[in-house]
Amino acid sequence: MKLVLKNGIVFDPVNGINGEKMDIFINNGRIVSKIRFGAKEIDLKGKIVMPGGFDIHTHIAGGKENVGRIMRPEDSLKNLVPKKGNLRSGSGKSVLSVHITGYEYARMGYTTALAPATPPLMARHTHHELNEIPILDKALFPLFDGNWFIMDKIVEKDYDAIKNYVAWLLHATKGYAVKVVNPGGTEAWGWRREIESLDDEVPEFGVTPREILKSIISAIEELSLPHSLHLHCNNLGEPGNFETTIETIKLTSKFERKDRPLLHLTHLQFHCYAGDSWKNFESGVEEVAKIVKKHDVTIDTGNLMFGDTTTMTADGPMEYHLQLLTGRKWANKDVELETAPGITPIFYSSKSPVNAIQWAIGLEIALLIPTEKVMLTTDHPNGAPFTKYPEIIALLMSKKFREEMLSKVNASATKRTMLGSIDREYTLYEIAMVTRANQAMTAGFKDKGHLGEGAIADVAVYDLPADVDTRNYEDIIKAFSRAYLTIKRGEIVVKEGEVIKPVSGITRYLELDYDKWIEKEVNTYFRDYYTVSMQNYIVDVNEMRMCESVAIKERRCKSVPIHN
Amino acid sequence: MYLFTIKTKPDVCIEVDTLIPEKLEGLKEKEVKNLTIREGKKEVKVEELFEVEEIEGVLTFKGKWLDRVKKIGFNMKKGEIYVDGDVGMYLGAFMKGGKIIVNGNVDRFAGMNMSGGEIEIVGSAGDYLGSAYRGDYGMKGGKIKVNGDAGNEVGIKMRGGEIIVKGKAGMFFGGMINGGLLRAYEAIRAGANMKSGTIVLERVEEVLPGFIYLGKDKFENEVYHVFEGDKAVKKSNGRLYVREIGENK
Repeated sequence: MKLVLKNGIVFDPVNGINGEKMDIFINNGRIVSKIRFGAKEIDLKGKIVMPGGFDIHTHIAGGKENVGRIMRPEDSLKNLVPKKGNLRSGSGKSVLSVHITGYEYARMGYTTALAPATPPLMARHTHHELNEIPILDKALFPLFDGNWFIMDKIVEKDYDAIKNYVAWLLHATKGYAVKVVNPGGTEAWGWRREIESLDDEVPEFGVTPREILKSIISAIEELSLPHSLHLHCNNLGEPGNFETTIETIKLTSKFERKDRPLLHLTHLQFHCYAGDSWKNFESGVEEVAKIVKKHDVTIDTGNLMFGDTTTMTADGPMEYHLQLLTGRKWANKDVELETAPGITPIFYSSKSPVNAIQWAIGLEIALLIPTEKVMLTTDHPNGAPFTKYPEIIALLMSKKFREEMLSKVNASATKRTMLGSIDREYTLYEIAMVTRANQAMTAGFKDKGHLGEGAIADVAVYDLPADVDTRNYEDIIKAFSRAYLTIKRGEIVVKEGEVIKPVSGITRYLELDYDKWIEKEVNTYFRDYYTVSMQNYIVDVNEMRMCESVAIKERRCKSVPIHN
Repeated sequence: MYLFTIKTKPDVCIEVDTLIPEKLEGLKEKEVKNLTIREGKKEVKVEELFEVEEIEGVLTFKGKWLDRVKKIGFNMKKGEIYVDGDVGMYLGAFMKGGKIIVNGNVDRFAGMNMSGGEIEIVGSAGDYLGSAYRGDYGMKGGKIKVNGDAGNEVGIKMRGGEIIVKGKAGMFFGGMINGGLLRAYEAIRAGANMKSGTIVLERVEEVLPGFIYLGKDKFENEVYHVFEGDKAVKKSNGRLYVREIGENK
């Protein structure tokens, strides 16, 4: 299908296009420089054109989503979507069912979403779940945090085995990047211990989170994976955890920089808390922002918005502590040898001082850290469901909206954070950076997140003037919640906020080389500990409905700076 | 208001959550006939299943097959509904205000998660009367009166409001409650895992072992045996009033 998008105001940060009126040509699912004839013309006068939205961290599929769905029937009841034409039915407000996840994302102009936490044993399930999510392009990140094999090899100082194991596990799960959640913490919790700093030892293994992080980062760098380590730091949600976060960021100074950052810190909002108890809980964003500026890391915000939601992370101990605070129902899903995700519902109240500060911290992060390092997420559904993105965009763009909200929420948000004193307002160009360009570039999707020649034709058009008055924040919310057009690989999937063509999305995975001897060594773990055999563990490419691979040529580094 | 008379026996259950007083207020007869309701998974017009007639008085449902009609007064906030006959599930569920009178029996989940208003049932009620929606917190306010008996799990997870059953109630009467008042003539395993709130029974076969006997006390000018519990729950101070204990003869 040939398309010409005429007269739109284009925001394309990767190519440095800031609000220029220009035409976009689409042929055969790609952006091209010119089409001579036979193209369908669409006039987009007075509308803004951006690359398709990209979400680097959203729990849309994995081991724990179904637990959340089963556990929260009352959440399903709040949003019942009947079948309509060629669209499937669905339900759920914070844990959406698969089909409407795709539709809701597409309606906001998003075309890619990465599932960032899959226990390797649940990879098959996750791929089947991803298959069912329409429209979006996807990828999954397997979890490496409490992995017995890696911890044993750290004790043996066999770093070559770790590198090959990372490559093998990415191959076995058809994963895209490496995710580490609370390194060591989940396993230690299984032994009734807590990991409180980077130098606490995991019982029975005797390794520290610092060692786990170092060995995994160096394995990733040696393998030259397209995305850096996707890290959920230790001590999530604990007052005073910003010190752990800073320590973690400082780890990267021991590595050499390559063509991309060394570390991606996810949902930073939950890791920027100062104070030493819930009573004197306050924002620690300023200190963290200083360190982030200096070091070679990227972050995503993990904004929190008020309302009812379900928290689900692979950080089992944290969910357990949260459940003790709220007294609500809780589930833990232990995955043998690998990890233990927890799930519990939560209500973020604007009257609660803690929640109000958390809300302010999320915005502070986006406003204080240099835009080229920031990505906008809500850590769906932990901070808020992803359907709240338009509101967050409006909060970033409009100081008036922030002031109005600050006057409504608990006064601690004004007293214990500096949100009220920040005058900065995001421009549309910066919004395009944090919701698209930065995310795609950081994730290593070089053909997405921009509108240059040869890029995949994922385009979002919003019915919003380029010189929008930020005082009218309701217009911004309205425009970003219902895209005027969403184009997915050259096909119009959303028109005026309604899904018209639920096409299938494509799952991307890595093709890696690894030494074959690693299979034999891993197999001993399957023989001794796992309840499944290795043959049943590996996900076959045929199990993915539509997929594309990225081949990585293994580059061996001669110098391994960190181990000596 | 309007009178809805069901025409024929429906093959599948009908859901009429759109037919509540505040939505029908100010609508003309033709508009009411064109409102959509659900017949199984299909959306159909009201006139296909009901005969609609404008009458003096309150919103009324009539007909032989009302036991296949679900969600009468669902999410209702004000006004009054009168139902002549036995009705299906979810009567007055999520109700926030107003009044429903049923001249007949009701099926399960009547008054589920109710937070205000009043339900009067002339006949008997099914299971889960005034209970919580699965997974949710329970009934918050309002009043339910049943002239006949009630089924199992009445008032599960209730936090406030009142449920009065004149006849017998089934198992787990007032289970897991944290507030509110429940009355019945007789019930089995009443107050299991209750944290606070009040349960008043005329007779019971046996009181659950989690309850502590406090002695005799008056409740509304009548003398009852008073128990505190259920001590299986931490910090519980629920009250169970029982007039007579022992096996049925």
